[in-house]
Amino acid sequence: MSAVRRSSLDLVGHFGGDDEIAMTAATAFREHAPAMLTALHEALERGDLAALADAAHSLKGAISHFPATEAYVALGELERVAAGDPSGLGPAMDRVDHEIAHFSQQILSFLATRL
Amino acid sequence: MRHVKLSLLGGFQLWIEGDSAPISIRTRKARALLAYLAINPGAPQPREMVADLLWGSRGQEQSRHSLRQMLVDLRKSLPSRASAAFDDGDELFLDADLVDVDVLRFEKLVGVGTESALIDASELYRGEFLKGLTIREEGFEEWAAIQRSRLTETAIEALSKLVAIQAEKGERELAIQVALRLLAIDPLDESAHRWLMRIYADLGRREAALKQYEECRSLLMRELGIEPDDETLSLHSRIREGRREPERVPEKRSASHRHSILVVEDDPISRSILEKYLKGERFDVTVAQDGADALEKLSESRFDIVLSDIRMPRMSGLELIQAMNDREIHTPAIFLTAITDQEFEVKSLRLGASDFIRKPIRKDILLLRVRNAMRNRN
Repeated sequence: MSAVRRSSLDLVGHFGGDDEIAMTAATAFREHAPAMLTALHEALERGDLAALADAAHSLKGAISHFPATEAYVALGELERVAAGDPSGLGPAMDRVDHEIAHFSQQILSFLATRL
Repeated sequence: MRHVKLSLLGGFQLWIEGDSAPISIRTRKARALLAYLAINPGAPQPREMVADLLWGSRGQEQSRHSLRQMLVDLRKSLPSRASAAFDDGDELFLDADLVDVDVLRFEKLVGVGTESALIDASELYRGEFLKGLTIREEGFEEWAAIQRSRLTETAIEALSKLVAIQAEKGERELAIQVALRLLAIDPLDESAHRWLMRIYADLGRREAALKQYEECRSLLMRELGIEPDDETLSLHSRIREGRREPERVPEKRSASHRHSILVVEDDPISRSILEKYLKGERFDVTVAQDGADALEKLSESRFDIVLSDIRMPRMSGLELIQAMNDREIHTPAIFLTAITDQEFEVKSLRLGASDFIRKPIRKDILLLRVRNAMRNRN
């Protein structure tokens, strides 16, 4: 029994067959997601839980446009932990990093097929 | 051969292949867990994340303990053939080779898009995703609401394609049944009302066609406070006057009638996508990074619609609409909300917001709401 994570991303299908919108979305993610993730880490390092919750909410809103359910759930969890019991922040942030890294790789693979 | 069949559309049911009755899964959270794993079979989910999803309100240690206990109970209650499909090590997942999930088959059939595939897909869609299953945990409810919304929109899209195919082929009675199913999902779907009006008129059932229009009109007025759109009004006139429908051609928008929209969104990725959605439909789009930026732009230029996020730095959507009221800027405002923003929705409605669009945002829903808001403004 093998546990295989889906690696291919049907972004064009997700955006209703519109290649242009898929490219715009993927390019915007590649351009802006790193800075949004950095904002999360900086807020965590400062211990600014309100800013962390806001940054998680913002990135979650951005991710909601994409077929990236695991990243969306992880960001939602981080947002809730930041607003509630901070002892879970470390593992929640690790999960966000993991899921965003995985999704970013999928985006890069998609963009590479368009070059 | 798949051992386990999982039905998530229209409610939760778990079957062992060949059995005549479904297996009873005692607790709602166990059903929620299986549903969550079933949407991505084969994709491992960390235990900690699943525990937080299902018991987030109880704190870390309690949630891990509750998950462990539930997994033990689930293993005991599942027959061995079902249990074989379920892996509960450090990561949890369902074996994609052993589990048949109706949601995945439904999506695949819609993707195929032929008439027979769409008929099969429509039969699979027995009702909304996980109907009747709630567990009062914010994380899970948010995830389930997104799936529900996504799958409902997919069902509407599939049924809309099917009614068009069947009507074009002259399979009118079948098309009527599909259009009625569409209205059962979304009674405010004007295009479904129009299909029924056309088909009834083609069948010589003029009174039924006119009655369908009246039903459409009274529903729109009661629920949204709006009249039917131009296409519906035009169709009604033709049927009432006994005129034949001309060849349906896409409407051409003239450059002199471009509407302007101010998109207010702090997240640059969402801004880019929304801008692309709207510019593609020939709206003039201006973007603002937050409420304060938006207010500045509203004081410099006129816009037909404001499309705004709620939670933003410097000035939130709620503060923006309050400031617009204070300055007597009466541009209709549509807010983009997450499932957890319900209290903001109520406050914004009281301040005069025109409408809401729940995230994740679909382009067709966005355009429909924007056009409705334009029409109401006029």
